[in-house]
Amino acid sequence: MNRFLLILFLLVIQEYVYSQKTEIGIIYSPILVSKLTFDKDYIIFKDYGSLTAGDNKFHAYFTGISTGLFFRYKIRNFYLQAETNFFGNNFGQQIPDWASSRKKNFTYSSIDVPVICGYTINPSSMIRFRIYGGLNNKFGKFITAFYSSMVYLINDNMNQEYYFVDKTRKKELINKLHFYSLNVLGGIGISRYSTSIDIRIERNITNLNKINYENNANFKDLFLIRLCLSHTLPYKTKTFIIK
Amino acid sequence: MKYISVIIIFFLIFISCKKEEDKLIKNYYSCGVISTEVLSYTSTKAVVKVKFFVLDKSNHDELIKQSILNNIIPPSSDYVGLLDSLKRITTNINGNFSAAVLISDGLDKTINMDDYFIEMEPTVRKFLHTAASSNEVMLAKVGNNIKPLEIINNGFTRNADELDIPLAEICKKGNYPANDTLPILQAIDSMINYMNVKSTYTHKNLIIFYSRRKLFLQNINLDSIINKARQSNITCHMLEVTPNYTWTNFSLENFFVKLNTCTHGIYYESPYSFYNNYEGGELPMALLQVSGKLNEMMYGGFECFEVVWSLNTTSSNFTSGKIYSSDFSVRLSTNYEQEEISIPFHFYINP
Repeated sequence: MNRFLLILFLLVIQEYVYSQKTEIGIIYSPILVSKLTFDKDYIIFKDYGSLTAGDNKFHAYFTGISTGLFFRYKIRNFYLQAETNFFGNNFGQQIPDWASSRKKNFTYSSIDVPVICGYTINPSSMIRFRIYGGLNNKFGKFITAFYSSMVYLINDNMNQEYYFVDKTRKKELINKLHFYSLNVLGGIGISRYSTSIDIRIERNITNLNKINYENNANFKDLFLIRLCLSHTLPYKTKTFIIK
Repeated sequence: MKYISVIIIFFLIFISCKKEEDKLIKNYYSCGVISTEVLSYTSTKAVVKVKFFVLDKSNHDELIKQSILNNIIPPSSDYVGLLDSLKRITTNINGNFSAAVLISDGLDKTINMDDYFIEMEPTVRKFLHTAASSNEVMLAKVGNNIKPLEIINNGFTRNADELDIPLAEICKKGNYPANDTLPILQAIDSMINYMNVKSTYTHKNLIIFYSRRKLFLQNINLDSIINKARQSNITCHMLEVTPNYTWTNFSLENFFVKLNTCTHGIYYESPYSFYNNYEGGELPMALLQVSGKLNEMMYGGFECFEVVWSLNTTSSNFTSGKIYSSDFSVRLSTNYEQEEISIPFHFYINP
């Protein structure tokens, strides 16, 4: 009986190792559709002003240079994937009082580390379909030059000058966010040769707020729908056989 | 080639992570009147003592450090003023207080009034937050003819946070064109009654913000409200968020001025050109500067200027029981266009 189990185990391992294949590639998320909701109707700021909290609608954004690397480990039809992304979180239009396009600036970058488990429906085909799900670990809230609240204007004397777009309120909103949050995600993708296009949906499963305030609006639900383009880099796979 | 493109992308990410520059906020001032008192009068001359402030941003919103003796310009329009004296004083200590803010919403005309609630909201909130805890504050709204006064939450509180969301709601929803008749006199009357019953302190203050409604229900005698406020030891303060318009109801306006002057309240008129150049020009900085100091002015022990003017009239004679208005100016070196700031004041000749 023990010998049978040992042979079975070795067969499984052999199958596992023979079919092992790892991939490394770059991933780019150019378009984001997001919705951010609040638990109260108004956000109160330290400058004693307030803004209407959220419009409960999805809005689309270009995310600029939201990009990263992925590492994929394939086991037959299944695969495990880990990523490290520098991702632009855009929510500017969620604040309806920020009517001017210049003010739509509630935007920050984070380091996203999604861990995904997926299934390739037709792995041997030229055009392959995938479905997957997992968890996205979001770290940090960085304001980068791409999402700066500083806008250059030309004044009456034709000189260039700065215009700050509700900088303090934007910073206050970002500071309300927790440094780390965990999202659940799911998606579908189509691959052809080394290139893939994915649609990915995320929703938070942890509290987004650093502190929950009783008399101020707190972040409630976050929804992100991302378009992801990925390309697998040429990589020499190493296989070995257990004899 | 592909690896080079990856390196370029990460290089771009790296250089984008730079700190934002801080904007230098320009200096600004606010000038207003703490109280006025008529020292003596004849039919052609009135000697009026005016306690006023010139707050300076660069001096932590305290009274301006420099001497204004050579930069004060006497009244010259309706009355010719002569400077009798000018000195720095510290007001008497009044102690802790109960303060109520009464707001009316709805606008008879929306033209040029879009900013009314945007400016009023932070002004009220700053006062509530700076005054609460040591003192008690409350918020109320002028209602309708059936219920003229709406008390927000549970009336007086020492936790101003409780009033944040209700205040935001009033101001965000208040900017609507109104056609009904505002029962503001009834609301003030009820407010005085409420404060007389519910105030913890004998030192009571009322600040009224009315949204320039033309139609108001004139079912109570104006002088009886003023007398009631004086008898109740309630000081009524006036912060003019926006200037008067041609369609302003001047009968109501004059009533507020009289109520303010007769109860020796703080009077501040916002100079319109002063709230610019801050983070996109949204906040009324001079108004906020005053509202942040209101609690200190109410409590007392506040450093201010005291000027005594001898005002001579050539047109109409001074008579008792009437309100008179004038203004003087202070010349300041601001970063703004307006360098000569007008300080309007009103005085009441007590019968």
